[in-house]
Amino acid sequence: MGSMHEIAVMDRTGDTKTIWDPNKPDEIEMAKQTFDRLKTKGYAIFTVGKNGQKDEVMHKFDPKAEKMIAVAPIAGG
Amino acid sequence: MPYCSDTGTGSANTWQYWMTTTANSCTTDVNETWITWSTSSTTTISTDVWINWTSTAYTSSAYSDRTPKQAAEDEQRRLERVAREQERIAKELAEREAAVKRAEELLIGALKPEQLAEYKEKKHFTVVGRSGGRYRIRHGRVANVDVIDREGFVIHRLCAHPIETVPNHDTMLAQKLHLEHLEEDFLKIANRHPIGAREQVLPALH
Repeated sequence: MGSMHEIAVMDRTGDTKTIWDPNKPDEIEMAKQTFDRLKTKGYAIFTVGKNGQKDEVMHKFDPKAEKMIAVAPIAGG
Repeated sequence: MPYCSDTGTGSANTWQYWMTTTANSCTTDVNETWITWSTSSTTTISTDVWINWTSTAYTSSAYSDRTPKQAAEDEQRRLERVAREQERIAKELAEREAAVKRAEELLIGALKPEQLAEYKEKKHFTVVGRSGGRYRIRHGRVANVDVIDREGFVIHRLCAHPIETVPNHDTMLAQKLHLEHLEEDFLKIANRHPIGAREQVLPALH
């Protein structure tokens, strides 16, 4: 089994993670569906590297991205 | 006659009993309830007020003719209600604490080394946007982003956060990621709040 990749979706529990093995097509497909569903809802999704380096906005699902963080749409307060 | 549906805790009986038997001694009963409530509950949190009220209100004179068996059953039900409520509160508190811990772990894992050092020392951290603009994100959810000018002074505060209710550490991370990658969008959405005293929080840039 390779290293597990994840999307952490911020929510009231802190976050809920969707995890996938990049070598397993069925898990990749499930993670992609999660990604697409979040984008449809207006979530901003970022990749985050170790120590906060090399992070960027994700517009398309990348199964090789090790860690993503999904943020609900923001509003002014 | 007013009717209160029975939730299984005897509330309908209480209401009907009160309506039909306490009209002539209402002053006494109400006073007892109020005295009990006001002397024992006002300094505690609201959930305690409810527990205390439900556990003491049944002891008014209207129930003085209960049989010992009925009294024991009432007491048992009261204890069960109190236990359920305490269990619910404890569960909520535990869930909230776990959420805060998870959110802080997520934030710490996404901070750059210099941001992490600043956060560990001061509980806030500095973010630099693509434009070169500097921001200080403090712990919180509302108006917790300071906009810092080239001289290092806070010029106003910004307020924008996820529409979903999330722990404050999640909000801080969301603000950081937006300011670093979607700065223009964030600035368009955020509301500006004036500051009080002018304060220098970072060194000047030149």
